[in-house]
Amino acid sequence: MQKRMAEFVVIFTSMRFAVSLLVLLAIASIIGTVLPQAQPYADYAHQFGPFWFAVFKSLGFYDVYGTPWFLAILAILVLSTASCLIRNIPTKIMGMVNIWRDHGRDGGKQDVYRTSLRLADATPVLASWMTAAGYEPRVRATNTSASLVSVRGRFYGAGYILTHVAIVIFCVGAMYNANLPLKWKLWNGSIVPETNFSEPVSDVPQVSTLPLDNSAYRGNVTLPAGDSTDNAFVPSGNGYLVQPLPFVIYLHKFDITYYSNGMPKNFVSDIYIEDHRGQVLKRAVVRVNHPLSYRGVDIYQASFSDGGTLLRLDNHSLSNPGASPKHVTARMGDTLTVHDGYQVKLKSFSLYNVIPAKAAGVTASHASPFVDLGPSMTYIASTSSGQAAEFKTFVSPITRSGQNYFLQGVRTKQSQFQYLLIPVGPNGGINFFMSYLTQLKDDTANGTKLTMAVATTIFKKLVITSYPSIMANYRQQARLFQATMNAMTQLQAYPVPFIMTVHAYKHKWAAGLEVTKWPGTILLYIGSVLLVFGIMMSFYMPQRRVMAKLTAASDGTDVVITGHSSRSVNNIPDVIQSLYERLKTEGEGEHSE
Amino acid sequence: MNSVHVRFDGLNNDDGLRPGWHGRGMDGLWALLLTGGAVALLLLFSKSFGYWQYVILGSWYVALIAAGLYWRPFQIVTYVVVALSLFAVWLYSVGQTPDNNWLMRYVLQGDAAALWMSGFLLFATIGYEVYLFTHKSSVAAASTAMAWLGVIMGFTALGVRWRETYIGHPSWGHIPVGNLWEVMLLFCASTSLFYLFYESRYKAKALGAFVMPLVGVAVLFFLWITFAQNMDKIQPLIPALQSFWIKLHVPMMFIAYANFTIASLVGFAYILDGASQKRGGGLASILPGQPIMDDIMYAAITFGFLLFTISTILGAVWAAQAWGGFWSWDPKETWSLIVWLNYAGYLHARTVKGWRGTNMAWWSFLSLWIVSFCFLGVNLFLSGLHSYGKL
Ligand code: HEM
Repeated sequence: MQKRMAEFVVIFTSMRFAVSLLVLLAIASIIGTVLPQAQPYADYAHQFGPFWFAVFKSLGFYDVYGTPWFLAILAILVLSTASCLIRNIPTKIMGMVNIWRDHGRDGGKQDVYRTSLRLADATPVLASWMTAAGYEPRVRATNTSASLVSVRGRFYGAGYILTHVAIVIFCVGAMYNANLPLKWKLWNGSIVPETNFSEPVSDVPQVSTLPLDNSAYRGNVTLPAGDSTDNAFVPSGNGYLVQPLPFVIYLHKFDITYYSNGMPKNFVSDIYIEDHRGQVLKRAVVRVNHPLSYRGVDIYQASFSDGGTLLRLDNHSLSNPGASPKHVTARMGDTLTVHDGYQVKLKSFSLYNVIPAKAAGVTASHASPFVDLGPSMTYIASTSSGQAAEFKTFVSPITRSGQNYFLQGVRTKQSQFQYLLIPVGPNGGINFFMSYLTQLKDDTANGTKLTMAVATTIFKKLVITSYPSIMANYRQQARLFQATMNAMTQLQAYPVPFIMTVHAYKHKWAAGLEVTKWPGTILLYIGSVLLVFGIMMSFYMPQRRVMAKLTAASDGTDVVITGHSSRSVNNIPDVIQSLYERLKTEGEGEHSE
Repeated sequence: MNSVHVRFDGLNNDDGLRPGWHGRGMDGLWALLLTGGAVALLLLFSKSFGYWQYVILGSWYVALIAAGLYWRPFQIVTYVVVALSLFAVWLYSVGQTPDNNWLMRYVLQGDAAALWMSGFLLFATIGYEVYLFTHKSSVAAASTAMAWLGVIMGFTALGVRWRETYIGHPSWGHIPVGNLWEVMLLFCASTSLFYLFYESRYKAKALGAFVMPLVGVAVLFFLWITFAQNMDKIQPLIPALQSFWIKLHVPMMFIAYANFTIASLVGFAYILDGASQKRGGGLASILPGQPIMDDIMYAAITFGFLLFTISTILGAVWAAQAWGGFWSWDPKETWSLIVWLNYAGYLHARTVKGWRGTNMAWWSFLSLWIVSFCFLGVNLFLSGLHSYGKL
């Protein structure tokens, strides 16, 4: 039994075992990079089918780095490194303290030279040669023999100790941050993730709520401007856990700044940290790369979304263009029934749409080749039979060669938006166009053929009644007519019988913040420093020993010179070689084996 | 600890590293000029310096001084690159632009200098191959010269581009390591530079025939992303990259990649050398010999490993600030861990088990695939927090 144990320890602390672990860990890590992690389970099920979905789920492939087996490999690596350390530290330290320790332990073939010098003379001579070669020796002599030992890079062994201690510290810190006790509770079922994402926090059951004094966590919150919260959500498996925070976070304002080409330059949250009585404890601006630390909890700017922008929408019916538009008030994210048989989901709102002027077909200003098309809203209209199209409505009209247009993007798949350009009439809206459609419909209802002449006549009549200001301007009339005809052609491919425009909006952001408590981080910093210093010492302070053993003989002295280097294969043999050379030429030595 | 008794009849490289007396003047000038440069930067920019900018400047200062003292030709390249870059910056500042000045248009603007680099490095690649087959030392010398010119134009391109990112839109300005085009440029220039270092230190010109083809492939890829993808267009940095950490993390990473790449291809040369010796082929006669190649591999891997470690740690510290976590198991992070574990395994096998020879050469050679995947593959095939490098 004891023998078995000893064998086990030998294997466990062996190099082969360590290298195997390193490789195993590397391979295990690959899985998580190939398979996107922590996606909704439905996506995986769709991708792999029910059988493989279940297999991969039980192997923990959807959260590889948090599975027990992965953590176990890490733990074994740490234990192995630690026991390797325990076994080697005494030897290394002894080697540093006592340079005589390894003396005489160099096996292998040893060249012996006989010099005619007597021991008492040979010793200082050899010592001076060694010193000249950069290896000043210490000497131990008796009447019949002498030992000369020189060590360069004596503290090389500390490099090994530092690197491996660093690894252990690192893993301890990481494991502390990973909150193993929580992993255990999740595993044995005393904590269960909540999977209902639309439930208010107050309804989340106790088994899905973490303690306030939880030792380490990483959660996130989505906070609309003007709201506050004292909870974060920690993603877990297919659901989430609620982490109460020791303070209240109030989002005063969220802002995005842009570069001139429309790329976001920064995301900025102006937040207050308050206690539960509303007392402000700290006010800070949190932006990307600039987190806020408060009492061991760090708050990061992670993402942003719409915080429920308030919208007043006008819905124009194409099947009944004469009717005045229906007004609807809604918030971003709402689902509306604006037209029989269609559900409209308000998807997103963006304040700016900066694109290259060329792409918009408008003339650029001198200052910048980019134009801002202003705010836009996207929504998805779907029928009960599952057909859907996505729309992008711009709030303000754009101007192209002197004519203003209302811009509506349409796409039915994940392709590029196709743009419908509706000419804008006298009061800035699309009413002129809708009236034109109405007239056209009425005049052709009795069976009149739609010819160019008819279209033109109707247009002229409409200009007189509702757009008198351009009556004298033929060029503008011509442009408007051309634009109207184009829009009618485009409308034939338009997938739904209504057009929605934004009448007014009140914008509101929500900031996505990440909230972490990671007290193990200080260990990671310490580990990092030790690791770097340790590696430097291992690589660039190599240990080189040169030793000479002198034994008195009848007609002179026998000399054996040995040495080794922890790094380079070239250096030591050269030194030894040159010492032997000198012995031969100046000390009348000869090879005597 | 294992002791090694190997006959070695190469040069004693350890002693070749120390500067002789005749070079002292040069070294003094180097230290003086760098100090002057550092002081000038302080005077110019110290108003906008935060605490960390001092750390970065200090690190660069120490690293450059050390590199120049360690390897004198580095001093000369630096002088030339700085002079060319400053000249271009000055031309910009007096209203000369690529539109009204032919020197700017065809040589000095970032894009043009990068094309010159590409040309020189491709010629150098071809030259080294010719040398391998003709054994003509004049060809080798010409190839080395080409490689030097490539390095000079590559770093000049980076220097000028740094300035160009500010022109027209000051808020876009950044150190040119923000997109794939810029880092490929850095990769080509720094791999060639480190190759030249090993070549001159070990007097091993034939290795160019093994190392430079990879640089050549990188140059072709670089030309492709320039002309087919227009990735040379200057873009501002996304918020996550706007951090002083980028100035340490990315350049260090690329010094590490350069060294790993060289170690890998020297490994390849080692393997072929062994095969050639068995067959009595001529290849072995022109290669510098296995002990030297073993030494180069080890030196390159240890240096690469050290910088890779520091740079990965800096990346983790940066991630802790930008993303709220030291380590997020994002694909790039995970792959750099894989690279790191791989080389940790290599170093253990070598130092602890004392492994040498063809097997280790294979290990070093095959590691290039892991490194390349970490560098490019992750950006091209996997998505994650590092996906700013996407095509
Ligand atoms: C993630 C885990 C580990 C890492 C990153 C690591 C890293 C290193 C590094 C960088 C060196 C220096 C190599 C050189 O001098 O060229 C080294 C040497 C060494 N390692 Fe590890 N190591 C790890 C695990 C282990 C384990 C588990 C063992 C024991 C089985 C071990 C035993 C040694 C020994 C004996 C040396 C040589 C020290 C000497 O030169 O005196 N290491 N390690």
